Amino acid sequence: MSIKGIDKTLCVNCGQCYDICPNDVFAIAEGKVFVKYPEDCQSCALCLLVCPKEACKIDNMRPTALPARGRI
Amino acid sequence: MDEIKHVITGDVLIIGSGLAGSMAAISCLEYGQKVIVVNKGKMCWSGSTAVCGGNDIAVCFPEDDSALWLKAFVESSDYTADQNWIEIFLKESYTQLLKLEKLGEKHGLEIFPKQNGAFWRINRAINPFRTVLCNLYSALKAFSKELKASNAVLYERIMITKLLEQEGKITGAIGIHYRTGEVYLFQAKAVVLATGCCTYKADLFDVCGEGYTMAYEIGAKMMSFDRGGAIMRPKDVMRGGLLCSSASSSMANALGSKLVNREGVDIKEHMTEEEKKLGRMGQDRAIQREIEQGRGPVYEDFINLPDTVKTVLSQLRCAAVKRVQLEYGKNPFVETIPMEHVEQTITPDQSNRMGGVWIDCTGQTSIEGLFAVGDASCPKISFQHPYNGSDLGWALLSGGRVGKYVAQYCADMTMNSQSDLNDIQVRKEVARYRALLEKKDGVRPDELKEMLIQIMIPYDIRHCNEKAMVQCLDKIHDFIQQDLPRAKAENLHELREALEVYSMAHVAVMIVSSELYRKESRVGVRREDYPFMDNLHWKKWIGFVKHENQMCFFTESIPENLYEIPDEVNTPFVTRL
Ligand SMILES: Cc1cc2nc3c(=O)[nH]c(=O)nc-3n(C[C@H](O)[C@H](O)[C@H](O)COP(=O)(O)OP(=O)(O)OC[C@H]3O[C@@H](n4cnc5c(N)ncnc54)[C@H](O)[C@@H]3O)c2cc1C
Ligand code: SF4
Ligand code: SF4
Repeated sequence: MSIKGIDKTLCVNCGQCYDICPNDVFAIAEGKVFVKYPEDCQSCALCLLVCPKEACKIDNMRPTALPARGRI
Repeated sequence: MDEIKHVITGDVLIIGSGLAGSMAAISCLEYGQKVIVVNKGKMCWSGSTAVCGGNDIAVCFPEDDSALWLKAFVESSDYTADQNWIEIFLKESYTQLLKLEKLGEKHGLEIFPKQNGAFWRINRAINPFRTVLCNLYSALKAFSKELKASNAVLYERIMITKLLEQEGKITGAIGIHYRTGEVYLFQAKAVVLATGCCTYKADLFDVCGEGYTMAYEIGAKMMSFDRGGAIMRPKDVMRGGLLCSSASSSMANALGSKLVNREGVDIKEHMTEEEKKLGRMGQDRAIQREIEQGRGPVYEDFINLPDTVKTVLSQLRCAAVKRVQLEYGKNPFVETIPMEHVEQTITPDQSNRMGGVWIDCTGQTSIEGLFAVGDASCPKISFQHPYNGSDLGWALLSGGRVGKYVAQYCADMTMNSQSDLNDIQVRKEVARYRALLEKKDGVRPDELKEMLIQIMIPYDIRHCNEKAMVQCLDKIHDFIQQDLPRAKAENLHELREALEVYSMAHVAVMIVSSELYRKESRVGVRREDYPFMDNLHWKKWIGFVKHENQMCFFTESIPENLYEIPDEVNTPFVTRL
């Protein structure tokens, strides 16, 4: 996993990260955008590229794959 | 979930909108076709193209020595490149480049950065030719603008799960919108499969081989899955830093960046000649040695590059640059950033150019009206090492020229109206979705993905012999029979993943069985039990087709019309990862 979350003090819930993410990592509920499936993040940084507020937090490492990824 | 809410009709359905699919859509529009484009992610922004971002592409320029390109393709593919397609590449790749360049200009975007007013070409260490720098982010922006402004009908976030066929002719496809749960039926005279490859690795999760599985299931000829390509990612690798990918760091190296040790010495000075030829494996070995001998950490050094190079790198790798800036609070062009040691388990790295759907020289598959482009098609002009511009070059070429042939095909065709047979296929597919969603006790798709990857881990470059492969294949078959049927999806997101893991497992069978069939070492696959290349017996492509529910293998001789392949046995084999 490499998406660490959204800094809610910066986020304006514009939904652009939700719109671009290839892996459907984000979701929207009651107008608020949040990280729903962090284990599916591939670290492509496309959300960073579109976020107007630099609110997506991703660590610099590519995901380390197994066994860190996933639920087992 | 509704049975079918949406029925959409057009001349041609393009599935996937990476570089190949977008080029295909634009080329079909040029030929006056009524185009439908469906993409699993956001239109134009998913798949390998979006991840690979900005790199370099293989294109033969008019001033180039064609003989050099020919030799490079034939030899670097261990003779497996298709010489008929190389001829097409030599004649047409530059035209496709110009087409893309013009598209960028139309939308105010620079897709090909310039150096002194000319296309910026580089020479990567492992390439005998020059590739051209390409900003794929700009290309994807241009595609998206162009398609939105056209009369193409666009659907995103829909995953196609089944191709429809009748009497050997394609008739359309079925898919599910994994955010709304609505089912879509697309009907078209022709379908262009541009679904990319199948990846099992950690940096790309969204291309999972559905194109391969769907084509195989309707009886399409499949080819060249015996070339595992970069089968395994080395165990101990130095990753992180700015570029975060071996392809882009080799591109940056070609532009003058260096890997330096703690003392500021270029690690190349300590590399053996053999390591220099081995691409990323050689580089990783050298980095490891620097650390073991107390000269670590190793840094990617971008600070001493000329300003023009810094500018182009920061554009081509803009997403990675932004990530590093936010993570470290540093500008990597001003301060060096140490590469961090990623102690990762060995992961199957089978993405890209692993094989694909067989096509002829027009891009048509063995199913009438079904075309395949880019990574979805079998690798016609790929090298052994997947990341040196040939795959992007292939996506550009195969996608950019397919419109003409699609239009020719459609001109002779009348649209099939929806038949009872299609109706049955649709109902079956909807029942499949429903069963996954309604299952109460079962295994979540994430866990299934992990199980599959665990099966494939022990089967790597070092253990690649008949015994290990047979064991691996048995385990994959057991997985398909015992574990996959236990898949359950708690929501639509998991439904998408469950459908993905189904494909990944079936593609795993395609890869391992094809590699097992070949009794020698070739194209990235070193067999412990057959360590040499054997041109005398294996100057062949390996393919298979579904017949009575079995995978039936066949071989085809590799054409030698332009370049004669030596008839020798025991040719030393080198893996260039
Ligand atoms: C990290 C990385 C680095 C790379 N570096 C290089 C390089 O330096 N040089 C080089 O030549 N090549 C490189 N490659 C390979 C290159 O990126 C690909 O060969 C090329 O982008 C393939 O383009 P494509 O359009 O065929 O497929 P993709 O770009 O993968 O597009 C496939 C599209 O199909 C969609 N799709 C998939 N399944 C479905 C479905 N069931 N229904 C609907 N849509 C679907 C996907 O969402 C995606 O949008 C790299 C690849 C990666 C991952
Ligand atoms: S793009 Fe940025 S600001 Fe917009 S919703 Fe996402 S995190 Fe928030
Ligand atoms: S880095 Fe890529 S995969 Fe991860 S959350 Fe952002 S857009 Fe999605």
